[in-house]
Amino acid sequence: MFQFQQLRLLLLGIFLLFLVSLVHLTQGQADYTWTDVLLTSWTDERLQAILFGIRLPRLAIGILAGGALAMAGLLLQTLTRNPLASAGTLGINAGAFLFVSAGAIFFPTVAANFPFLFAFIGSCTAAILVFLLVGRGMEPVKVALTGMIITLLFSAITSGLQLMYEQETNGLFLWGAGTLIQNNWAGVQFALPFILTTGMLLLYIGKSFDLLLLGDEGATGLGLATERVKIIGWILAITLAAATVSVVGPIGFIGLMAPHIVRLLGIKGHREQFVHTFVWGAFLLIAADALARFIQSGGEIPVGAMTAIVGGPWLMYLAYRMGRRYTSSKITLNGRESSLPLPVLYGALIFMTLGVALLSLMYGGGNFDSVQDLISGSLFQEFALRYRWPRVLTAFLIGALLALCGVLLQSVLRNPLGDPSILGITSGGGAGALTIIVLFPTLSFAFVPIGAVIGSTLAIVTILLATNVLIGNPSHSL
Amino acid sequence: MVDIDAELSDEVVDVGLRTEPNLEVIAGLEPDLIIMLDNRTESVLQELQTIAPTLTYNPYPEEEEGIDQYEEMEDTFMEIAKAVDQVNAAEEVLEDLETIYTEANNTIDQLSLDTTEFTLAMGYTDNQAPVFRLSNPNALAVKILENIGLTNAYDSGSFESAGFATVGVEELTKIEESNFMHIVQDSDNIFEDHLSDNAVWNDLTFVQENNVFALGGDTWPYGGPLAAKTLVERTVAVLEEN
Repeated sequence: MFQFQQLRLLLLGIFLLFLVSLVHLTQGQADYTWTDVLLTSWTDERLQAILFGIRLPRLAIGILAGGALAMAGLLLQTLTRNPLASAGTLGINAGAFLFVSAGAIFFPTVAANFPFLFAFIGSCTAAILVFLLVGRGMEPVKVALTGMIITLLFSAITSGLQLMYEQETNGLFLWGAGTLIQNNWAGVQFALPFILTTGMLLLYIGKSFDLLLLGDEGATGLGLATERVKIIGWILAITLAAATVSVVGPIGFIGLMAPHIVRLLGIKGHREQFVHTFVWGAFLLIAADALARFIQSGGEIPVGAMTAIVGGPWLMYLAYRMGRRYTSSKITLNGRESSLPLPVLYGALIFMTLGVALLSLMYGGGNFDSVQDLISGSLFQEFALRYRWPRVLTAFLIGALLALCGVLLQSVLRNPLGDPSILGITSGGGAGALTIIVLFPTLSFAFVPIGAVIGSTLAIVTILLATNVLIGNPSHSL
Repeated sequence: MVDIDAELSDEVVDVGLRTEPNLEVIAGLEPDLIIMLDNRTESVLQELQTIAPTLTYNPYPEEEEGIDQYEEMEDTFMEIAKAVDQVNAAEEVLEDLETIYTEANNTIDQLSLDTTEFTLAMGYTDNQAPVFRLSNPNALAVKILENIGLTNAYDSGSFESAGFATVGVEELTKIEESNFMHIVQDSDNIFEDHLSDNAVWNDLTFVQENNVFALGGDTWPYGGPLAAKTLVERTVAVLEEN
């Protein structure tokens, strides 16, 4: 009876996927209606070429990517016993983006000939780094923190590269947001073997993951080689995510939403869950892409942006529920007593600050002042006073403020990663500023900072509310 | 680099990106006049104005301004000429351009082309797929090519302030009867890399009938009269060769 119910739900999922796929196939820039696609595609060679050469590869990669992301998400959620885990938290996306950007800049010919290679190596590198840094136990909290650190590090390098090589990295904008654009079947050909093999393996060993949920001791007690199953699980999850991200770029939230839907539907057992989550993941991604193309039929809205619009609130809801369910874990901020005597420490810090400030003041945007310029007092000439001093002083003050902000947030939230940019306060500010620019284009530039202040205030209020910090439960703000 | 009928002097100094000009370098040059794109960076504009009188222009007028990109180009050109006291020389340049148009028009008339319809495209790779910026009716380059007796085929259906819509291969089916004039960089050869085995592309009328024309990656469809001159000369040259 229960089996029958599950089968019905699976058929429902497949039916929905089929429907949304049909809609997806009718979308495109060439003038064909959906009746054309259904009726004349048997005879019209032009339409066949369009369907087979452009639209079907896009649909196929969408189904594969959605399914793979969902399976990877489910797997990671089981492995870390954290319903909010997804491939993005392992730094996989950031690693892929960094290597793709570096490839486009330094090895353009190789990147053009083997388009998916760099992304695949990059995402694997990031995941392996996280793996090595965390150590064999793969403790969930450590994984999340290390993944975040790798993501921050890699994204920072990527942004740096993009600033320095603006022209070379121009064509990577859509990639950075995740898109299903396909020119031929190459993407499908690349991803299919990985996803197929991993999927089969997952079905084969699915039962072992059920035991994992009993906890390490319980599972070992039942004769499961816990350690081995976990390592295999991590490898499979990384493979799925890496193969996907190399072809379609980082697409978030599918790996979060699909497994959650499957659990809501009451599907039990990992083997069944993997099958269901594949279907629902594929459905969600194709639906998101169809919606994106429906909204803007001419141009291309990255599907990653679309899934984020739907998935963002979902994530917040899940986080909110978790925040209520779990009680505060005691995280202490570990400090270490400095072995240096205080005066020496302060002296060194002041010396370093002044040194960096001097170096920065010597830089005129084009080249550094020479020592001779310095002696002749170049730092107090008009240009330096007008352009360099304000810049250096602003940077000094901003740096000090950000550091203060970090100290305060970290002690209030009792979270060692409490940084305004990680917590989303900076993005909130950016969103506020952008809103002002887009909604009120005639307003003076002076209003943009006001928008930023409102945006970041909203962000911090949201965080505080979602984590119940106001009633003293401050540990879930990540 | 862009190919026009003039060279930059060796003394030209790089003052940074148009979105982030290096104020210190600009001030150090002690300019008499600053000319910049109007991209709504008031804070930069105010800074520049303390250095020297600053002239801003916007090559992409909005629909409601009632002025097309070509008129805007001429206005900007004359305004700059006035500011540097070269009005006569500038008028001469614009007159020369008209002569070039007339001559090109005559040449094209004699070619008896299959069709005078054209689509102007800038093609490049985005996310491993070929995409095209197809020029819309309001584009500067479209106006220039219309001045030599060609007719524009493509219209995205909505006003594009930059003068083009970004599309994939599918969209080309709508303008396949026209001459396909493209500007594609040698370093990003989408035809060899992506399109040679693309069934939709190979089936397009202009591909079948060899009406695909490469204007060269250093043709500049924006800019002023000199860029316009290069565009016209190249267009006539590729059409004649056919």
